[in-house]
Amino acid sequence: MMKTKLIPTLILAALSSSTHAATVFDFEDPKGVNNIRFDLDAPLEAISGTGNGISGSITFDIENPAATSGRIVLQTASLMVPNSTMREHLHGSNWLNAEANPEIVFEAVTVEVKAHNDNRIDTHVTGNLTLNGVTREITVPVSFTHLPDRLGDRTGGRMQGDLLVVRSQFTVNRSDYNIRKGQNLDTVAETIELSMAVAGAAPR
Amino acid sequence: MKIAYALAIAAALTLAITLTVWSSGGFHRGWTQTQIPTAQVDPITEIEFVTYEEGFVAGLDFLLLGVGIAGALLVSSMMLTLRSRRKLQRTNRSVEHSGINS
Repeated sequence: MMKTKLIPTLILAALSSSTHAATVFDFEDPKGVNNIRFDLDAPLEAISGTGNGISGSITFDIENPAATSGRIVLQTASLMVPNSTMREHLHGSNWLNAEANPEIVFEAVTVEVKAHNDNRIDTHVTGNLTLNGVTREITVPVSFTHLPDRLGDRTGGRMQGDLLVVRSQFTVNRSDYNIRKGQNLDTVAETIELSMAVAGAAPR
Repeated sequence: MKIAYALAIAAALTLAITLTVWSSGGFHRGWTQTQIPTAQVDPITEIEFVTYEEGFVAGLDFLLLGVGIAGALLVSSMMLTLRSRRKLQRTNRSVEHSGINS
C-alpha cells in the first residue's frame, strides 16, 4: 500500500522538477556593472559610451538552452559619453529622443544553439530590437555563461543562488532605426557597434 | 596702437592658457571630456564596465578652439597695427605735402 502511494509521488516529483528546471534570472543591477557599450566611428575619435540602466529577465535552462526566452531593457537616458554636450545631443530629439523613447529593448524570439561547452553556451538569438521607437527583427550571436551558486560571492553572502552572464557583440545601422537617417554621415558613422555584457541573478 | 598691443597680449595669453590646459590633460588627442571614464572589471562575472567621475580633460577640439581664438586676436591686432601705420604714413605725407606747398 505504502509502495503504491510512493511511486506516483516520486514520478510527480520528478516531473515537477523537470518542468521547473528553467530558472528566471533577473537583470536588475543596482551595482551598475551590467552595461551595453556602443561605438561609432568619427573623424577625430570614435564616439564611445556606455549605458547601465539595465533591467529585464531571462528564463534559462542549462539542459535546454534552445528554450531560452526573455527580454533585456536599457533605459535610454542612462547612456553616457564622456562629453556633456555630446550627451545632450545623444539624448536629444535629433538623435535618440530619450524623452519620447525611454527604453531600448531586445526581446528574444528563437534561440539556436551553436556550441555547448560545460557552463558556456554559444547561440544565435533571433529577436526584436526596439531602438528609437523602431522595432526590427535581428539575429545576433549571444553567449550564456551559467555560474551556479555564485550569487553569494556577488552579494557578500546576503543571497544564495545562480548567476547567468550574457554577452553579445553586434552591429546595427542607424538608418535602420531612423537615427539621423542619411544625415551627418561625414562626422558620425552609419554603423553602431554594440557590445552587451550583463549578469542576471536567480536567488534561491 | 594701445588696443593692438592689448589684442596681441590677449592672443599670446589665450595660446599659452590653451596649451597649458591641453598639456595638463596629457595632450589628449580625442574629444574634450567633462566626465572621466574609468574601466573596471567585476571580479565575479568578469564583466568590464565603465564608471564616470566629474573632471575635465581638454581634447583636440579645445586646442583647435583656443588656437583659433588666439589666431583671430592676433590677426585683429596686426590689422589694427597696419591700419595705424597707414594712417600715420598718410598723415606724414600730408604734412610733407603741406610743408612743400607752404
